[in-house]
Amino acid sequence: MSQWIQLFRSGARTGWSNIAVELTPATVLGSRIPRTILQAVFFILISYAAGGSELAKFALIGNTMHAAVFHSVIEMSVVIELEKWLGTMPYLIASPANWFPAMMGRSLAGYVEGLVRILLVLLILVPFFGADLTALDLLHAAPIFFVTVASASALGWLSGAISLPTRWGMLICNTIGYVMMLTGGVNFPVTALPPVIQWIGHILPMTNGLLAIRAVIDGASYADTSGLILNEIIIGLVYGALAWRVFTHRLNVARQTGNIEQF
Amino acid sequence: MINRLRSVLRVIAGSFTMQAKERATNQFFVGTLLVLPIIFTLLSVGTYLYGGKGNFGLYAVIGAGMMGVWNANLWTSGRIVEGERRGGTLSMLIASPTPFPIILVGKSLSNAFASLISLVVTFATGLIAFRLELDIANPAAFIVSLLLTLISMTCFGLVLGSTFVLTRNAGDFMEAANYPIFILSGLMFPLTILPAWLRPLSSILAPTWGNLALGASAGLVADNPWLIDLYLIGLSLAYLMIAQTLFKKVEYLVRRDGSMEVF
Amino acid sequence: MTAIKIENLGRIFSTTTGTIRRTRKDITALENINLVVEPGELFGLLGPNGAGKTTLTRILSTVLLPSSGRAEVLGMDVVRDTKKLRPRIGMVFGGERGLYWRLSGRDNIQYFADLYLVPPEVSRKRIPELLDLVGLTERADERVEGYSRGMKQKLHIARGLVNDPDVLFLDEPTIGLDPIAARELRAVILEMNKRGKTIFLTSHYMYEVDELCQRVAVVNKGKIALIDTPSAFKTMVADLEVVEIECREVSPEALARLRAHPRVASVTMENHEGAQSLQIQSPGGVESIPEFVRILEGSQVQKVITRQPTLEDAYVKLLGREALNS
Repeated sequence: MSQWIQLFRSGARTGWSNIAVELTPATVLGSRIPRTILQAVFFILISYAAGGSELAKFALIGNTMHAAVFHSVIEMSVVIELEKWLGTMPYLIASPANWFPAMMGRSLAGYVEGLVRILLVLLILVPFFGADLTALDLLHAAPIFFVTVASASALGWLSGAISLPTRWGMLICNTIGYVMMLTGGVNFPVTALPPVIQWIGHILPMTNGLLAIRAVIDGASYADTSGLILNEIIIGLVYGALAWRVFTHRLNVARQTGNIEQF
Repeated sequence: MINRLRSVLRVIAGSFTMQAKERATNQFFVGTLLVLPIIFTLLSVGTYLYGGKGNFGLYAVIGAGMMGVWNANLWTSGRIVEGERRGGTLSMLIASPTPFPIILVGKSLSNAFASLISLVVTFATGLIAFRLELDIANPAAFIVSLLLTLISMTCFGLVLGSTFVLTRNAGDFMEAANYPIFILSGLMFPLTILPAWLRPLSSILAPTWGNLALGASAGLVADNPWLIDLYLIGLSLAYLMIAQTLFKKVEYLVRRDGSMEVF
Repeated sequence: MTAIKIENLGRIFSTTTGTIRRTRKDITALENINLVVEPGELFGLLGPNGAGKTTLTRILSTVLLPSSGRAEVLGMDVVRDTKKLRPRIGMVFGGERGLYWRLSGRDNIQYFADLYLVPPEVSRKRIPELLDLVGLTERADERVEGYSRGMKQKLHIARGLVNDPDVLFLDEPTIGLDPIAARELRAVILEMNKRGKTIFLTSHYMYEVDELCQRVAVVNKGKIALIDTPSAFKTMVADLEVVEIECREVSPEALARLRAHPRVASVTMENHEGAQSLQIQSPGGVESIPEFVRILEGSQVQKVITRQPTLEDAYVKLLGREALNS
């Protein structure tokens, strides 16, 4: 167990250093924060043009959640793909340690940044659009955010593991991020979409978590949201297990075929 | 004079085909021209349908296509310069007897024409997914406006491309510039919902007028499309002049500071 | 117990070409390799590019599975006993990849120390020692992206030693380094061997193997052509002298007559900007020089020297000229 903690800590340090390089004042203020905020603003404005301030508020809440989820899907995918980009895969295969806790640790920084994005969007955009979110019980909402970003992370790992032998990793995880926006009820309730597309939302992370957050704003009790949260957890666990299977499989294939470099 | 013109055209043609070959295997392009246009159409049209403004469908379809056109264009200026810098070929291009903007023109035009795919894709999505009636009121004006839009966006891209030579973070800036441009040029919603003080900024952006010209030709806006086309021509010429001056300055700076090799 | 024991080892790679009509092609990278390396030995694997050196190193370091035969390192099977074996071996694959560029050199080693389950109290002491050994102490806290190629290679070595392995695999560790950096790296390798580590080194530089290794195996096209000490290897050509003749415009007929000469073992020719350099391996070559010059009449002979054969000459004799050039 202490070995797992050591590996997790080590992975977390490595993951953090990897992200920290990018966190200069220029990139944070000039690129990361504006990008997060302006993407949300763009979609909120479409909702405003389509349905006035009620729909804009709906989109504000949806995009708050999606900003974090989108980021974690991409970051987790990168955590896995980084091994390929840097050529460290053979060393990962040959190390005696279980890679699982190390990779979990590596993912921590991206997860935390996802949560920070939620705060950021709330702090900047709620006053900007003059939205009334006083009914949002933060104590109730926080665990929902934690769970939802985590289950989205699991999908990110799966995306990374699947795209490992291809050159399409960034396209795949970005597409997943936007599909989640479409099917998860971010900008408008999905009822306006064709039924097939609506159905996809139910098997993706975030849809349930977002419904739970909206319920909290409408004054739901802990008991009311527990079902949705449980769904979100189950979906996250399923994607996590799938990601673990696929990545293990990739490592085994790499050891058999020697295609580690060509990945 | 004629010989000179001929050699310039040859360079443009050469870089045009180079770029076309590169594009086919590039995930950014497949994402930008195929995947994202579909998702953005579904997102925006879905929002308007839910908000009860189905008559905005065509507007959103054109807007989603224009986003693809713009992405492809910005990609040219940002990623190409960044790619050439990484590959160490940027200094060779700058040192070659052909002025750098001319090389960029070929690449940009190539991308601009390819980006028409995204309009085809968004129209198809609108027709298939939502069964929208997509009637273009003035087809002749629409086609002319489309051509002029592509040209003016290419010229605008040249202005950006020249400045991208100076920075190693061209890609980051490019992505950060994405949503502000979408918002300011009103691709997905009427500009009237933006604060009035943003208008001057909107009015110097090629996508604003391109979108307006297409909207007017389609009969969505009451303006005369041909008048807006004239404005687009003027705007393109202005961009070209700015790009040329800017590039001379940039070339001087790059040679003085030797910043091409540092990245 | 032997450090490395390889029995009838083989490895075949399958590649497919074409997208619609797929054709499978099998490439034999290693065939029937047998080899024993003793503990504490510095063993060199010499061969041209594509000979199978990297494949063998990867199999021995548990990263790749063999197709046939078996291999043991420290008495443990490289396919089955990975759990016990991996903590006790270290490996360095040449080139610049395999490091986290955004992390400092020290952080890179620390991360791998944790992956190799090195207890914190041990790594706290060992990491500075390793940085010192490879001469990176002063720049250990800078990000790797700013390192020169030589520094990255040294960091790789330090990384490979972080678990204090009993056996260290080095795959072309000096590739792409300038002569000074390569010499520094070779000094580190010798030092590690003095400290008792078994080292399995691959290289395609003759002098490197000559300088470092106690025994050498020459591989070519996936097979071992010879295993011996560098000096024994050189005695293969001890009875030969090498006559180097620099001249211009050597005619094919003259070259053929040289090769047919009864006292010539082999002739190789290199072109340098219009001039040719002929390397003639010949027993008792000195006496034959007048005859060689007579054959080369009309070829503007400019310089003639004789020298003792080197490992490179032995290599040429063994594998032929193509092996050296590839």
